[in-house]
Amino acid sequence: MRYKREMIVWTGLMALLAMTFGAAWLRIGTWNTVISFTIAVAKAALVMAFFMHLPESSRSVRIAAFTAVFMLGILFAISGSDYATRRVDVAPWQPPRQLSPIPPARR
Amino acid sequence: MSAGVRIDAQAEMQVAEQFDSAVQQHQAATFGVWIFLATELMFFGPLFLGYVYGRMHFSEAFGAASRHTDIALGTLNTALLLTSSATMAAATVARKVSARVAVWLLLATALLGIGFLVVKGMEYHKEWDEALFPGARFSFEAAYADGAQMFFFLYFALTGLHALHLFIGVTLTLFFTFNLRRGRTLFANEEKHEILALYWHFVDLVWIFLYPMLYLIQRGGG
Repeated sequence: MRYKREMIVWTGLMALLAMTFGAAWLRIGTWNTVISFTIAVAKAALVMAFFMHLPESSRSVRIAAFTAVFMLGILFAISGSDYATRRVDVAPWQPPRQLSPIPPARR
Repeated sequence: MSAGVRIDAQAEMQVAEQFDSAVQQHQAATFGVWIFLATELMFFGPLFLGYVYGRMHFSEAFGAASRHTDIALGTLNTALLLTSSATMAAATVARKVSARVAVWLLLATALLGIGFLVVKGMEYHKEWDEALFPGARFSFEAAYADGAQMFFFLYFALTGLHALHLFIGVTLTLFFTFNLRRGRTLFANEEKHEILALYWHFVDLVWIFLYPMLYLIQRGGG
């Protein structure tokens, strides 16, 4: 059959969707995020490999695709490390508090 | 001038003068669209980073807010979009052998895309009624209100930007469908068809990541 490959990939995508939907209801904390992200990567890999024909594409195309993801990685690594190490100020717009006078230094 | 245009219209795969061969032209077109898709990822990238920041700093509020999105409609939409990618991929295969089959598959793809947009509109309507749109009307559990508002800001920005891309994709796909149906193969030639398909799959890829980000985190309550 001519569209066999598309049918198989579609079945795989639907199975992954059912899996990620089901796994979302489990109460497993951080693992929810790990599982759903892993499944998203798997779905993306199927689409890129079989629908966008990335493995059969020319080297320049694969470099362009890699560069896109790599640049996103740089954005996340550099901007992300800045934000991750920054404290969230609760309310910088709060009026300044009245401070008690500084006690005189003891001799 | 007009004579030149008419001659061009006779050949489907006319090689433009800057290219040595049809193969080179095809490679250049594919490479060009991949560069475009790379810049598109840069377009979505900061919003993804903003999401990761919010998810890390307001994890409880993001979890609570994501439980207010409609998972049934979100999952339905994911299924619609994944299916539309499959029909688009099939249309690309069909285009090489039968324009008639390709027309039907393109039409199915466009209809699935329209279905997605309709469902998305229903979701927006529901969220507007539930006062989840960020702004003066926004209301949420007081403990999580700030973080939840940030979640919904990202939710509307990400899904809105994605919906805009899909709308463009649907419009182009309908253009291709009608041109191919009328036998205007200069516009809807194989090369441009493949470019359209790549764009469509990219829009699908973005949604593949939006779905777990916006609908699935802490769905079961952590």
